[in-house]
Amino acid sequence: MNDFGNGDPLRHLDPGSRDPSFWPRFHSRVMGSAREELARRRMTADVTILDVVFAWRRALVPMALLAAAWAGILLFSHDPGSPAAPVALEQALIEDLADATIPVVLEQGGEGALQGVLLTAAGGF
Amino acid sequence: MRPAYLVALSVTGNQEDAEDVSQEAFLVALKRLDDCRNPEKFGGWLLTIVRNRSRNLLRREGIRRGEELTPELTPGSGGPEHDLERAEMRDHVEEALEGLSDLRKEVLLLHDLQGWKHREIALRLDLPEGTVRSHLHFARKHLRERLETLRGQTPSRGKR
Repeated sequence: MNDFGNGDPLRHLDPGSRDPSFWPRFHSRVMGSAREELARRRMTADVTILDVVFAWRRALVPMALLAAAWAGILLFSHDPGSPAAPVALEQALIEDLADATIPVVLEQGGEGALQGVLLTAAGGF
Repeated sequence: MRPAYLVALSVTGNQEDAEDVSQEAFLVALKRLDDCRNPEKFGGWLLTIVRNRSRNLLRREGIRRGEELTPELTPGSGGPEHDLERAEMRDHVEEALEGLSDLRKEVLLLHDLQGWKHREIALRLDLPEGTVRSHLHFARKHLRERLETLRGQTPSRGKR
């Protein structure tokens, strides 16, 4: 650009040409105004999972202990000797079959089968 | 920082506005850094922000290009006469640049003042290298002709 006959005219547009400290000052000014944002970004970038856990330790540790205690209570409060549930299930099965079984057997097995069923039923109930 | 300033200057035509806009644009870019998907293109992305903010400033304030109220006269080592001469020359150059498109001004300033190569400008402005050469050629031609015309006239400090 030195072909304009009078040096480089564009240099007059550069504030640094008349004030050599302009660009360093300008740079400092911009970086100064960006300081908060730069600090925020630096902090965000440096945070690890461990940092997050560490930051939440006050809440996390008591919650974990509470959850463990509650699980223990639930586990040991259960009485394994109680037969209530299995008995109820067996009874429900027998009650459902009592009326429906006989006609099916009659159709498939004939009179001999009927007698056997009747005898079994009389003995069992 | 300097390329951002030069792009702002090519749009606003005002040195103080160029300083403010390039500073603001840098802060905006920093806050929206996550939007910059390709870190390699950060430079071009920053210049786009500078360009947009410069245009917004012009639109908002209704400033006509190059209409600077008072040229900043920083005392230099050459004395008041030298300072006045430099300010006058700066006015001439700013006036000579008027009439050029923002893009041509950008190419001219980034190449001749910032020292970027054609390829670098093409990359940052997302233009073909041939287009950059062409813009530079026409911008230089325009500036040369305008400066010659202005040199033949009375100093135009009264225009501001």
